[in-house]
Amino acid sequence: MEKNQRIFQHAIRLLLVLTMAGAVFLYSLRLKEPVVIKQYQEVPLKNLVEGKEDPFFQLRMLTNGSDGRTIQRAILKGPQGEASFYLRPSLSQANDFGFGHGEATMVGVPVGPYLLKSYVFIPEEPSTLEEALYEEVEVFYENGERFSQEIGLLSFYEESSGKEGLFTNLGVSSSSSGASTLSFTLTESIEVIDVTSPLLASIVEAFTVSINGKTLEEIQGEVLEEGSFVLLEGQFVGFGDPLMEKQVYDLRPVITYEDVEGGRFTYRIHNLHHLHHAMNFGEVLKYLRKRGAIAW
Amino acid sequence: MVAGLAKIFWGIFIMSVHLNLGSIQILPPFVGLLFIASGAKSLQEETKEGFFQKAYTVAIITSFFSLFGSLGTVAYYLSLYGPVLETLWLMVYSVLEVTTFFYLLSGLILHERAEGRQAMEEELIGRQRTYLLWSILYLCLTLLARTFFLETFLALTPILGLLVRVYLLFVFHQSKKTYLEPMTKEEEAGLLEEE
Repeated sequence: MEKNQRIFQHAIRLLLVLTMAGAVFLYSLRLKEPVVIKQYQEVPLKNLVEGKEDPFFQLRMLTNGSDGRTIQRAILKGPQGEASFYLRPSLSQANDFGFGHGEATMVGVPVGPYLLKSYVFIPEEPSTLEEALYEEVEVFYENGERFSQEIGLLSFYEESSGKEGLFTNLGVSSSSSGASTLSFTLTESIEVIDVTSPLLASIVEAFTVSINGKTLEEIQGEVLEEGSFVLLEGQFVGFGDPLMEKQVYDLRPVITYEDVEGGRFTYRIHNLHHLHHAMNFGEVLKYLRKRGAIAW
Repeated sequence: MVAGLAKIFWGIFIMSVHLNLGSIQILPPFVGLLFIASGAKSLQEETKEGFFQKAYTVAIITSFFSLFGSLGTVAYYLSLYGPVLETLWLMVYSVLEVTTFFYLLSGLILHERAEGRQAMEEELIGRQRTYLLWSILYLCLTLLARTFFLETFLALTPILGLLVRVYLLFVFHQSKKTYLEPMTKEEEAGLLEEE
């Protein structure tokens, strides 16, 4: 009985110490402000203006599990200026986690003490939007609070038209392993002028892209003959730093070409993307440490 | 003794089994803790053993903790303000619960000692130690799982917690049985010889 009492007393002390240590550790994990998962995306302005397609501009961020604030709007900032967006109120649309978003601010995927949330924004004045590159987002809450953070690179672009009927037998594929292909047959000869993407240069090591087995540099100036089969292959190969893979990539390089009559047209590649859906607690901790969001 | 031990047995049962009618919980855990407190009070009145009075007090405090948790408002507040408060709340509640049962078993042990039933006393000491060690293991693993969000542990620790409760049910059921069918002197002597 006396031995049991000693065990009981020691156990209570042990639990007290462990609980306090655990509480201190958990408290140290609290975020001062949400952490935006960086994204490198090219977004067509046509969709933004006419509201034809989703997504317009999607913000993914990690918040404290206790963060119940309601987001109202966001401003994207870049060297060319600012663009104002508001949160799309519809709850009917599923986001990339498969559930509704919008006003349901507590919705999110729990990862440890955090919630991984996703919001879709639409422009306040679509007609004023122009081609621009944005690097920063300022998020405004209904209670008047706000925070500003790097978003990666968001490039809004104007869709320009290609030449009608130039490509036949068009085939597109992309797989979860990060591989994507685009193939077509040319109805007339073209000369590839260049292949450009404002984002590809900044994350060039993440994707390998080739056209008929040649790199984008090698293909420039090449003449592709009428009737020839063109195969574009893309592969997300990741980064030396695996944490970079937790970020969102959706690149849309544009091929500028000249037809036999000297007319210049463009063709945009749409299937080079990488979205890391799930993150476990360990990965989130590493990501937050790398972003300097937690103290240790 | 039998009535008090029966109340404790059913109290543990109610604490462990959650029955819902729609979204309303029938017999929430705090009701079980009130049963245990009532059982401790009965035992204290019958035996005048101080540990039962302590168990009664701690059980009442624990039932208040449980009641506030069941009301939803505190649970909501805790979930809103994150895992730190939630973990602190859970650990305080768990320590109070372990303390209640430790005091109850201590009271029973001292009562057996006062009655001169050495075999029962020693058996209860062994059971109290088993309960203590398993409870500490359960609480340490729960704390570890909740602090580091270890998914496997988070899934397994409730099973361990349930086993500890089942063991408690067994201990109090056995104690109740000994008062329903008190051991003869020969049986007790036989039990002592075995040990």
